[in-house]
Amino acid sequence: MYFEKLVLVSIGGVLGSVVRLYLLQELETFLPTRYWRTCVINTVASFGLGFLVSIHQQMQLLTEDSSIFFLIGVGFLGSMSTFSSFILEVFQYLLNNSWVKAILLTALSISLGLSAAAVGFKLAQVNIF
Amino acid sequence: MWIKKINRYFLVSIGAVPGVLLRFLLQNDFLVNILGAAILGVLFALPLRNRYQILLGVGFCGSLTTFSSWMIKCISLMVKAYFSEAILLLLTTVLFGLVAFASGFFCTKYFNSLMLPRLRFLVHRYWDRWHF
Repeated sequence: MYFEKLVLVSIGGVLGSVVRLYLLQELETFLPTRYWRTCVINTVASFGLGFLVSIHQQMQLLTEDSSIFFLIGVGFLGSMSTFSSFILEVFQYLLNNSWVKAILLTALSISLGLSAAAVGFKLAQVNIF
Repeated sequence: MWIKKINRYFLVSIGAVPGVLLRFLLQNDFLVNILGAAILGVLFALPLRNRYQILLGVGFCGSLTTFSSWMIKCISLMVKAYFSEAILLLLTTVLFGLVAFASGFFCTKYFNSLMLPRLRFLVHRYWDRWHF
């Protein structure tokens, strides 16, 4: 069982990091500033994880199986969103003495991530039928 | 060239597996984020070749650290009405992450002058350049 979890998590992690590198290369055309790309990716991943946590809570009423959470939640979305690149960008802004942009980047990515996670969490509870 | 792009994705996935497994084994988002920030600080100070930057920086550190689980933890604290704990978690993670990154960066900058002649095979021709 534990070995299965390890395999699922690593498959999801490989897919997530490949998607992150692809998005980093593709967003270059829309955001040539090179600083705000991980903010966009983190927001998307936070939305997805909020959605998935809510779906997982509803699925726990039906089944005990949580392998989809380990594959997508811990593996894919956890490895698609990154904290270290965010800190790297803030630190680069601080090295360039642009304090306002560093604080703006921190505040915006945290607030966008929180609101995206909350929106995803609520959106999964909407009854579409 | 398509073979170069395939090579980049291959490098990233090679680096991602140990990062994800370490995050899964430690089971602690705060510790993992601080550790990944410190490792990326060390890597950022070294003038590495592009392939090692992608392998270790984007692949290993990027999949070792996670932003979304941190957000979910804060949201779940806020749902239980622990607002001060959620704000404390946000502030301490950002602050300790920056401190860890800066300490890794400056310590490595300090030791660069001593160690860099022995690591010449790792070093890129164009120094102080960090691609993504």
